[in-house]
Amino acid sequence: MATSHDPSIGGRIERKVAGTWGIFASWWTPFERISRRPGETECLTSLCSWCTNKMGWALLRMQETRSPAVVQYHRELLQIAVLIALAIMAFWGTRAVHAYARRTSVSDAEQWYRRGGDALVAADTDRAVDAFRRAVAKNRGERKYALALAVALERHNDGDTAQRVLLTLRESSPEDAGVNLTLARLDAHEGHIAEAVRYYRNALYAPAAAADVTMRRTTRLELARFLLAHDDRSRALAELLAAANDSPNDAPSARDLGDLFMQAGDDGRALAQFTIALRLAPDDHDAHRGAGLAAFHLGRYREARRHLLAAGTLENDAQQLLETATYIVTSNPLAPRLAAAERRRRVLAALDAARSHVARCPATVDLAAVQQDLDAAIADLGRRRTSARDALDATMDLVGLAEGAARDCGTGSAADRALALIAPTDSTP
Amino acid sequence: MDALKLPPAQRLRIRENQVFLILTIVVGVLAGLSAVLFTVGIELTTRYLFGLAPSHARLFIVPAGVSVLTGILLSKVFPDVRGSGVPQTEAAYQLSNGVMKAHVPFGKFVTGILCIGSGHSMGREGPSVQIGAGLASVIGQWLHLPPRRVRDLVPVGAAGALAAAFNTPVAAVLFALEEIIGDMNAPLLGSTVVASVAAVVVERAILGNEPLFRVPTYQLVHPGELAAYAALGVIGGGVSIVFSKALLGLRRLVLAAPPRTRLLQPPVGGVIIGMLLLYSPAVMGVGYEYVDQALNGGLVLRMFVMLCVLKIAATVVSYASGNAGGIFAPSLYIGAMAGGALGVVVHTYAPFPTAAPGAYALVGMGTLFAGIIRAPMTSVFMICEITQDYQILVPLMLANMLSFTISRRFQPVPVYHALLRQDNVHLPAASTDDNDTMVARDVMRPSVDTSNATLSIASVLESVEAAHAGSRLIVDDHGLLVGYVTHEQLVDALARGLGTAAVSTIANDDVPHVHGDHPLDVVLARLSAARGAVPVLSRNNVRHVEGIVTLETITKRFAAAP
Repeated sequence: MATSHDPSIGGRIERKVAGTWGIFASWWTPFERISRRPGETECLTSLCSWCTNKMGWALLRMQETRSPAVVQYHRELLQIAVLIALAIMAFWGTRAVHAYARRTSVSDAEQWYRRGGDALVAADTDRAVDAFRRAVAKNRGERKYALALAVALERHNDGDTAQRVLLTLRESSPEDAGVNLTLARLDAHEGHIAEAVRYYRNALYAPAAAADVTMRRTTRLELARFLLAHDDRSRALAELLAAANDSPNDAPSARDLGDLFMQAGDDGRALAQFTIALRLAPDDHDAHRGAGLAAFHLGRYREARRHLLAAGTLENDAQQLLETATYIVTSNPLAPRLAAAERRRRVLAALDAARSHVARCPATVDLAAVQQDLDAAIADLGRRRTSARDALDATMDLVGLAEGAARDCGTGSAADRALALIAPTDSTP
Repeated sequence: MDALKLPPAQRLRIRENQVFLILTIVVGVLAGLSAVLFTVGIELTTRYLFGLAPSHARLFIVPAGVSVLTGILLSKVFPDVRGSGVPQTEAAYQLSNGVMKAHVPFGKFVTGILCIGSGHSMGREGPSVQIGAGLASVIGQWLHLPPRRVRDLVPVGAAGALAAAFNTPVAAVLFALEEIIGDMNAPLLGSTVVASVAAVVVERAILGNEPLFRVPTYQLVHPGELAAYAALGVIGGGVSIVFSKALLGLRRLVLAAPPRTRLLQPPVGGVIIGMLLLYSPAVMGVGYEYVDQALNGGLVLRMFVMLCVLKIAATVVSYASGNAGGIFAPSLYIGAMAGGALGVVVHTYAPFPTAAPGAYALVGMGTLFAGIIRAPMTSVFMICEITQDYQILVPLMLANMLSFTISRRFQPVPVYHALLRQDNVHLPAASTDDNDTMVARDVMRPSVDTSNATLSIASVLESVEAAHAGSRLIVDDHGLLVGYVTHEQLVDALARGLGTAAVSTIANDDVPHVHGDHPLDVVLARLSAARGAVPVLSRNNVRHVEGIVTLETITKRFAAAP
């Protein structure tokens, strides 16, 4: 086989290929003789011989037609192949360099994040904002950095910028519970009720919240508190009912829920929650206090007195309620199954209390008629030795009227407060 | 069609086009990778030179110290790689047939990383353009491509590099056409698109598809805001002029210094930059994190104004002192700050609801880009692509137009061309070559000497000789062309005794001609084949003669051209 004397790279490659093929061809021929099998081997060797002939012919033709255009063609192919190989290597090399730079950037971001956290703890919001910004710049894919930045901005009294940061985050992930919750808190702080409620709900129904019961419960309670703060009791109640389903079985959670139910005006459920809390922690003074208040509001004075007594030290309002409940329990003239004498005694005491309350009213309040009626009733009851139940009930109606009239004349005694509650209806515990 | 059956020239042309297509893709990929590597190199250099939180000493020493090294490199080793890279690429394309020396992309890569990474207030996109274009040119030269093809590869490489640098494939194509080639109708549109796509594919495979800036969705809140955006356009135009004048003025002073000071110029610039960084590190380098803050409304009015002024000063000093870096990124930075400042004022005092200041910062970016770089189409698309926000398109276009108009009024020569003029390089302005735009209709004479087909050969010969013409068009009774006769044919026919025969009997049917919209090179080629006079025929009716072109009519036309 004739060989070209072209000294270029293309020519050298061709000579290599031709030489290699020639060696293969010379080796194959004795091999196929040794391994020959009738029929099959004949076809195989014929095929190989044909290929060898064609390949050799092609190479020979290439070498014989060594025109400049062909040389250039081969050279260009080789150069393009080199360029493609270079591009592939450059791609992998660039990727490796970028991966290294990325690791450095991620590490830097985490360092800035920690610095920001330290600054927040130290209440240096300026430094915190700067640090979190740098963390975000170094690693934009990590959402916690942007969230932290938003929190820091909010504490830095830059709610607008915080909101923009969060809205930008939310555009890429509208169901992110953390983002929605932070937005809700921002809007709550700004007093944008409708927006805050919307973001709270988004946070509640986010996929992450669906899986995290604690987070969902916490968010729901936060929403309920927000609604209660804005006097939206009905919606707050709905959230509390849902929160109760997720409530863990521990006394503090039950107690907190009880407080919130009471704020929402559902004393029955509040008492139920306090009862749960007391079942788990019988000595919980706060639960006793809450139960006492709830029971009092429900008119269950004996129970209220029991809980309030167990609550230990009470603040002024709760103390007054305890005194009132005690009076009701011990001195209610309308209590059932009282002896006639005892009932008469209690009615007289009630009349006396009402008269004292009316007497304390200033002269500007015209209660002379009420005063006269009370005096007459006291005198009448004083003359009679026994009193019919009907007559005593009528007297209690007068007491109720008197206490009602004197309500604006300043806080009365425990008796006055109790009589205002129990008269004229009988609220037997 | 069997390619082997085509004529060799056509076969060669097909193969050349196929090779060029493959090269376009390869160049796009390599240019894109070079831009990515350049960006990553700058980040790593900044990180390792300044550390996590640079001290005051580092802020001053690093730019000053590294500038000593870059001064040596830029004056002794790579003197061709100073400046942005975009004007140099334009010059290579327009004046040198796209030939760029092999050391140019490499030198730009190294010095660009050092200059920008050490804190100089310069952009990375201009150097990326030159690196990509340089790679393309070197590849074309290595492959021994025809000069035309080497030249064509330059904007291809530039588009690929810019597409990867900004992650903006459309804007990169527009930039290559608008700025490098200077012709939006260039036949290289397809190649630049292919390269841009290839570059962006590899860039996104490595860096992901995050936009350069993550901004909230801004939109026009109230029609009254258009007035505010118009004001931004005017302000942007003014700031563009201030920046351009300052840059050109300071650079002129620096270039006027004795040549022996070239080694010292970058270090002096580095010292000044160091001092500026001590006052405000926010003007360091590319500064995109501060642009991001501006776009998200994280700056107050005082900061907007201060950073705008300081960035102008820092960029002017960095560039004029001969460092390697561009002005794309600083334009965006300055625009964001100027826009943000106006946005704060408008948001505070406007009697109607307005968008957040970040929206004005966004439009401001495009405004300054249009005013300084003088590429309005590129500016619009670039801003939309780097923020992936198209809602602000209308205000952006309005402000861009105003800024561009004002900037052009007071700075007629674009800053890139002006920078080249300072280097004694004069680029041709767009459409100054009449040869490219002249067509046959421009150089023809409407009145044409013709002869009726029924006339005798003898009378036509007499008429031809009286007019000293070499040939004559033969028309029918309606004035429509039937053929032509040459003087030699007429003489020969007369000699054969055919003087009384109708001239149509010897007229040639196949008339060499041109049409009115044929460019001048086609006209000249056919003129030589038509013995000095070629008729201009209508495309609607190729027998209708519109005029005639001769050398005399061409000469007269050029003599009359301004």
